[in-house]
Amino acid sequence: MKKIFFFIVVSLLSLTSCKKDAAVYTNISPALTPYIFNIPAGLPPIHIPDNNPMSVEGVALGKKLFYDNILSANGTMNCGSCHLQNYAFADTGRFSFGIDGIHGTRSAMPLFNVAYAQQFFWDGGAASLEDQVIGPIKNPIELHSDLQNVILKLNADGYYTNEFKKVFGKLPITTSMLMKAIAQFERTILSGNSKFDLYQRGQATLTASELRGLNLYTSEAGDCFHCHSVGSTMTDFAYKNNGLDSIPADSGRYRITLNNADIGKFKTPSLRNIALTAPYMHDGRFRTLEDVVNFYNTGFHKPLSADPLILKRKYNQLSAQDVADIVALLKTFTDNGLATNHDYSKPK
Amino acid sequence: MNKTLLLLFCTLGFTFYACKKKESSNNSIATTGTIVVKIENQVDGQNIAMTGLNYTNAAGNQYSVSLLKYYLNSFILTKSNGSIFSANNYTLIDAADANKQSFTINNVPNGIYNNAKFFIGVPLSRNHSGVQDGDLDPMYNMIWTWNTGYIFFKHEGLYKDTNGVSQALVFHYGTDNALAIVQVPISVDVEGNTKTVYLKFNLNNLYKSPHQINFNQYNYQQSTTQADSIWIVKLKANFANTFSFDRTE
Repeated sequence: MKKIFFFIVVSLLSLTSCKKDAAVYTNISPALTPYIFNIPAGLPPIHIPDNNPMSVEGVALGKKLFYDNILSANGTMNCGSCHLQNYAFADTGRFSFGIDGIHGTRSAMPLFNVAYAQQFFWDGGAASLEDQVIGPIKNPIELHSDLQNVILKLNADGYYTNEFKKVFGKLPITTSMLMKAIAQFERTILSGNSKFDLYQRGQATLTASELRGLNLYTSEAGDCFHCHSVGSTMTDFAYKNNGLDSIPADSGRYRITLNNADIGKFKTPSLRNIALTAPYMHDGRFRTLEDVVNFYNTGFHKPLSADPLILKRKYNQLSAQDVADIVALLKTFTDNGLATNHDYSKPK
Repeated sequence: MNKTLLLLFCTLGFTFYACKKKESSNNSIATTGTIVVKIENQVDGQNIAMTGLNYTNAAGNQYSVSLLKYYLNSFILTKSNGSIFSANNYTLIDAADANKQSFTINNVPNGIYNNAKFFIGVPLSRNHSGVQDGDLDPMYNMIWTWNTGYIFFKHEGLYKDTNGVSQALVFHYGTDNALAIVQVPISVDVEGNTKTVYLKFNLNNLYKSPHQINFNQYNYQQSTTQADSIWIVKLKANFANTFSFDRTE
């Protein structure tokens, strides 16, 4: 019996000795603590890319970087400068100003439940959460850094060389390590505990107005639900032209695909925390939720690349009370815990 | 106990056998060698200098080079008997940086190679993620971050327009369709040692044939528009004629 046991041990040893780097890519080093997600009920499971396993240390490093001015060319701004925790990690202005005091033409997107998205930015140009990271760092209208400089600065910083060595097991710090660390932190930002979630779990009740809003949300008259799922992520992650303009000033998704059918299409945003993320639309043109619902009632256009649901949508289907009821419902999508969760706050 | 030991040796023996890679037999004469490929970035025989509007293309445009960088990948060597050896390289060439003008191919089987084939750019499998190290590290500024993908070739500088006024010349060439194939007859005899193959890159050939590129028509191309895609098709064809074999040392 002992012999057989011995044989089995040696055989197992044989197998592991043949194994190539697989362990490096699928598991984190034993010196690290695996990061365990606490996914709110109602949100789907999370897929972690094989090349970026999550560790508590990696997430902490990513958070430090997220809030560190070292990422900007002149040391004045960081990711958190425009992604404000109190506003679901969106900005409060129509457009965000970068380190040179200039701004672009698209509104800073909120940052939560990004673990569920496959592509990033309003037009989906970034191929992964990791790839998204270097966009704002390099963009001249944002942090305006030369990546080579950022990497030099990080490698000259004792704290960062220690932490990167711990998390990735090697030095020097490379761009891919920076991308992975920040993505690890961003992946942890989850939001799924709004009043509406509690209602769906039978732990809260909606007011009469909110309930009327829910009926409209899920009806053809309101017709929110086709793109903004009822609960869960509250987005279909698709790109749609919602009829903002007859001729879009910003070509949107077309810029990425060069496909005429994509002119004026932008990513469907999640409606979670929507009351916190004003102003609205990719260009921040609407100041209030009432403005948004009124737009879908009377203000939309029907350009060729508009979504079929917009093309067939009738004008003036909602009364003023209906608009108020939908807005009341939208306000139940706010997760107050997101703003106060210290796991996401600037490290002291 | 003897039985146990036997079992142990058998198992370990099997382990080593199973793990052993295919290696050339270690006789006194090595059966493989090393090829270093060096790229000489030139305009019609002159090494590229990063100053002044010193160059004139086939269309008669005077121009300068302030930046010239490109990716070269999957260097494939062919012997006269048709057997091939393929390197798995992704190499960034930078005309302004002497440390970024060559790459090394190890374990090349001995023999006379008379053809080299390679690609300008980054292949599809590597072109849609910046989470990569080595020459594909995004810090080399050869990646589009707003639309994840590598810039295969960059030429920046100035050109003189029809009024003799200097204008910006910006060519950022890329996207999956842009991957260009280059074939160059070479001559290198690998005999277990290291050989250096010198290849010339002639920037003027890129703007010459089969498609003449006039900078008055094309001068600010970022591979972002449908108009750029016509320019991409032209450069892609021209790349085939931009490299030539210089010598082996």
